[in-house]
Amino acid sequence: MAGKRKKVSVDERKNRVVAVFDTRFYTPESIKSSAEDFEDCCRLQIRSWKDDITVVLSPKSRDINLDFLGYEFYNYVLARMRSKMPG
Amino acid sequence: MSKKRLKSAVDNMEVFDAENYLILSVNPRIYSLDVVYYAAYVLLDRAYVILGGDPKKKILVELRPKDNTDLKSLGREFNNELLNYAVYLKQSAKNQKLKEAILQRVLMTNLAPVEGCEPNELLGDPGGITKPWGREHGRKKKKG
Repeated sequence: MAGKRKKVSVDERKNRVVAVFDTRFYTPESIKSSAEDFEDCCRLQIRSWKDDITVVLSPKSRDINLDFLGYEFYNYVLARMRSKMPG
Repeated sequence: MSKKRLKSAVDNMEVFDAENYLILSVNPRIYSLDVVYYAAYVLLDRAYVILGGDPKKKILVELRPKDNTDLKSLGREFNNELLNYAVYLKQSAKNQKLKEAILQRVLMTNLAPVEGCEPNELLGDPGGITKPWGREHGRKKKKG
């Protein structure tokens, strides 16, 4: 966990993943646009609290592996941010 | 520098073999957040990357390999990428003025001519080839 709190937590009972983003590292715009891209495969909820944005991802299909979904979403957001950087 | 001190300077990673991930700590006074982004981007296809910590004091990078990559070598690779992009950004900043000058020179042909100055004077004409065609080869008047 990059920090004291867990950034990605899997709730298998409710079939969902909770990813917590620190807005000092991840811009809200990139999180929102990434969430829009994930709408095809997941139901999403976005909440914000102080410096954090929490994204709850519930996959629409049982084929999607919950263990990796949160991490894939994290990578996707980072890639989004990189595409807006110069160079 | 003593051996103990050298070790603490190099070892910026904490490896968790059982959970198959590692955490790297990066000093933002040495490597800026932009450099961390660049380095993380390079490893996106091979590892899951999560950034955390404090962007002003200590940046924490969690790396979780997607395949059976050795955790320590992944961490060292990330360290190399940090250095790589730090050098790149520094060189890029150094060459910024030169880049601008070259670009300005390239685009100069599309600029409107400066008042009281022929375009040839700006660009230079060492071969003397930019003379208007009509001046020397224009049609001669037919003799009546």
